[in-house]
Amino acid sequence: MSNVVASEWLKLRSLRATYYVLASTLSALALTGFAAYSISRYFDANGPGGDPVGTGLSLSADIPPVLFGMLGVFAISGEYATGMIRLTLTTIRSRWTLLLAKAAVVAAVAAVAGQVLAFATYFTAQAVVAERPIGASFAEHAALAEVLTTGAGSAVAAVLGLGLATVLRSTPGALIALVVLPLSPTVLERFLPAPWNDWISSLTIPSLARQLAAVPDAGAFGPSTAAVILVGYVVVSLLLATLAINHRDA
Amino acid sequence: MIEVTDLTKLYGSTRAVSGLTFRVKPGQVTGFLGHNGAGKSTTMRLILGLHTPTAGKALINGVRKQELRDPMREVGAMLDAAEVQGGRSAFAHLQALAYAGGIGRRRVVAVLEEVGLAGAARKRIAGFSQGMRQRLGIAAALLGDPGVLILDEPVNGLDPDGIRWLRTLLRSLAAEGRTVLLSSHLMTEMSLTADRLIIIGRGRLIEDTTTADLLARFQSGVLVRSPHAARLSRALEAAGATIRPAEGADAGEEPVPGRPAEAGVDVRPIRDVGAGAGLLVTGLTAAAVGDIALANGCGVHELVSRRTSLEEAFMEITR
Repeated sequence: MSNVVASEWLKLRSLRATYYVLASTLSALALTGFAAYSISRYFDANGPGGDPVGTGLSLSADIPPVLFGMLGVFAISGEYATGMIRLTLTTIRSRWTLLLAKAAVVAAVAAVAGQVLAFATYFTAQAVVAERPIGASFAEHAALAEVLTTGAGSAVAAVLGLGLATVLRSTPGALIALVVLPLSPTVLERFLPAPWNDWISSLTIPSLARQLAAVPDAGAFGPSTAAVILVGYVVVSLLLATLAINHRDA
Repeated sequence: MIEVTDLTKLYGSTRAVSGLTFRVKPGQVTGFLGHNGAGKSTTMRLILGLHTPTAGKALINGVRKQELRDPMREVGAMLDAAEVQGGRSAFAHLQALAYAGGIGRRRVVAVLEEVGLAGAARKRIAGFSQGMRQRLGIAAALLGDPGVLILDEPVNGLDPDGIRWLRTLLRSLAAEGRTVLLSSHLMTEMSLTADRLIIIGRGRLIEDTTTADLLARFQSGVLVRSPHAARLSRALEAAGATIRPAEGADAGEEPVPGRPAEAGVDVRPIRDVGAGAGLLVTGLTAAAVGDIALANGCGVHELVSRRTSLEEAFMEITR
C-alpha cells in the first residue's frame, strides 16, 4: 500500500493540472479581498448595519471545494483519458489499493493546501477590514474552528472529485458534475417545502464546514451531524468508485 | 508460462474471443498473429486481468493476474505505447510505475539505458516520437525484470535499428528462460523473431505450431517454366506432384522492373522467359523436377524453389 501511495504521490506531483489547480486557488484570495474591500467601503459610508465580513471565508467559500474537487478529478481522469489506467492496473495487485492510494494523496494535498488557503483567506479579509469592527478574531467563538473545518472540507471535496471521475471515467463529465452538484441545492431549496429546503441547502461542503465549526445560523445541522455527513461523502464516494473500478473492464 | 483455457469474452452480443485454448511456454518467443479484430488485444487484456472473461480462464504462472503476489516482477506488459500521460518526463513516468512495485531508482535508470532513452529521460513524453514511445513502453514492461512479457505490436514505429534491437532483446530474454508473447502485423519480422506461432481468427484458435513447421508446410513449391509444359505436367503428376499454373507469371510476360509484384507471388526477375508456361509444383524438390524434365526430354527455361513467406502462409490459413 505504501508503495502505491509513493507511486501516486509522484504521479500527482508530475501532473501539470495539479499546479494549475493550486495556482487557481489564489482566485479565492483575490475574490475575498475584493468583497471585503467593498463591504468595508459600505461600512465607511453608511456605518454599521450592513453585512459584516467576519472571518471572510464565506465570501469565497464556494470556490475551494470546486478547485480541490478538480484536483481529485485530474488524479485519475487523465489516466482514463489516455488509457494509461491499463498500464497502471497491470502493475498493482488490487484495484481498490490504487483508489485508496489516490484518495490518500489527493486528500492530503487538499487538506494542507486547503488549510493554507483558509488561513490566507482569513488573514486577507482581516487585513482589508483593518480596524473596522466588521471583521473577526480567533478569540471569537467559532472563528478559528471555521478556518480549520474549511481546510477539512477541501479534503472531502478532493475525494469526492476522485470518486466522480472514477465512476464517470471522463474529465468533462466529472468537471460538469463537480460544478452542477454544489449548485443544485441553491436551485432546489427554492421550491422545496420546509424543512427540506433548509436541509438541502445545508448539504453543500462549505455549509457543512461551517456547521461543523458550529458557526451560528450556518445551517440545519449541528457539528456532529455535519461531521457524519462529510464522512459519509467520503465513504460513499470511495465505495461507489471501488465498485465501479472493480466491476468494469479497463 | 501463460495458460489460456476455453477463454471466451463477449462484449454485448459480440464474441471477441471464443473458446480459446493455448499455452505460451517459457524459453521461447511466441508470436501472436491474427487480422485486425481477431481478438489478440482482447486476449492479452484478459490474460492481464484488465478485462473479466465471460467464461474460461487465463493464467500467468498458474494463477490469475489478480492473484499474483508481486505482479511487476512476474509479468510485464506493453499494450499500447500511446497510452501514456504526455505531461510527465520519461523518468517520472517509469519511476511512478516502479514505486508501485517497490522497485528502486537504479532499475529505472538501467531500463532507460537498455531501451536507449537515457538521453531523453528528463524530457516530456509529449515530445516523443512514436518509436521513442514504443521504447518507453518496452522499458515499462521490463521494469520489474519479469519472467513473463506480453507485448502488443511492440515493433510498430520502430526504425530498422530499433526493430533489430528489439528482436535481439526478445530473443535473449527468451533464451534466459522467460516467457515472451508478442503480437505483430509485420510477418517477416515475426518469422525472424518467433519460435512458435499462435494464430487466431474471429476469436478462435486457428494454428498453434512452430514457425519452422508452419513454413515447411507451405514451402514445398517449385516453379518450373517449360516450353513442353503439358508433357512435363503429366510426368510430374505421375511422380506424385500436384501442379497448378503459376499465377501472375504467364508465359512470355515479363514483369516490368520496378512494378510491385502481385500478391502471393515470389518476386524474381525472370530474364529468359521464352515460350515456357509456368507451373507451380508441390510435392517434389527442385532437383527432382529437373531430373524428371531431363528424363522426359522436356526443356526447362526456369527452375526455382519457391519459398513461401510467413505472410503468404498466414493469408492462406486465415482465409
